Amino acid sequence: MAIVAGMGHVEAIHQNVDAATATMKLGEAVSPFKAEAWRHLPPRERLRRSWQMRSRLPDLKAVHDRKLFPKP
Amino acid sequence: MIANFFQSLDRNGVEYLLISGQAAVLYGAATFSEDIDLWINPTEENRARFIVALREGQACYYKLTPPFTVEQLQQGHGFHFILPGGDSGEIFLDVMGHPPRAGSFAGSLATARRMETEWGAIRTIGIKPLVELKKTQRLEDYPIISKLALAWFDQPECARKPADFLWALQNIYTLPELAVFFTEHPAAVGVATGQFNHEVGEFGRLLLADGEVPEPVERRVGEMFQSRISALQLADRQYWRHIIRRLKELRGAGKLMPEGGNVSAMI
Repeated sequence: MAIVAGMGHVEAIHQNVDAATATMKLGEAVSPFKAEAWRHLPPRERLRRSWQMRSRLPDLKAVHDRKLFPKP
Repeated sequence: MIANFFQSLDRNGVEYLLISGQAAVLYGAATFSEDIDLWINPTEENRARFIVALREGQACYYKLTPPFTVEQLQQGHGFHFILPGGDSGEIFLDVMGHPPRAGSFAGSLATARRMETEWGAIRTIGIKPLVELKKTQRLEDYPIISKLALAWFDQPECARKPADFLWALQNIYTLPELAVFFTEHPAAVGVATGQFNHEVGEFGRLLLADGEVPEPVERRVGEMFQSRISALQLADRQYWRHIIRRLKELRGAGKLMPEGGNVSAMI
């Protein structure tokens, strides 16, 4: 996979971040740098969206335990 | 419910920092974390204040939690609690008094930020100590670290000087984030070549000149990243070895806190 700079793309997103975040779906908003706009959301909004995503997980305990107490 | 808990921390004068996953979310380097991790100042007075907040939050002990003493806090153990979360379900609260690689609490408090959130104004660890904390055995932490390095340039205290570029280069471990970094900071190419790593500098030069990087160059930089990640994973394993041994001794001696036990009843 070749890495492409895409400077124009980054600039366009910088300019249009408000419009981008206003219309984006949750799935896009929570995927960082796929939708570059995540980085430009205020911390408050990032936390809100992140917590929204958390509420969709069917088994939080399993997710938590897998991370915190990994099987050797 | 979570907002109440953070209000309780403030009301009781608890010295704490939000660390790890939620801190990375606030800085825009992660999108999700299922738990809340706190670093509390490991002093007797602060421990007592924190216990009041745990009681007010109706916290229970979770798995593998040693006695909540200053000694155990200073030894680097993790303490695991569950808070009733109302609509949010159970809240997993993980607490440390001496997290790995982050230095002293006072040092990190000095560079902390207060982040305005729906939970109130949350005292959040600064990006640089957060980056050190995230150098764990989990491979998925390294893209997050790399994004934190990019996020450093969005912080008001970042001077965008060669030292900032060098720090970022030392803490980027993924090719997509390296490409974003050079695209946003072309001046960093000179720093990479002169002060960091010639291959990384070449990656930046080719990216900016041609818009893409030939695969052999990408591969060499990617291998260098893998090698550095492996060294950090090994260091983290070594860091935890004696703490885990001590935890097993406590478990063997029946001294761990009972899972589900109410904090109010136990302390």
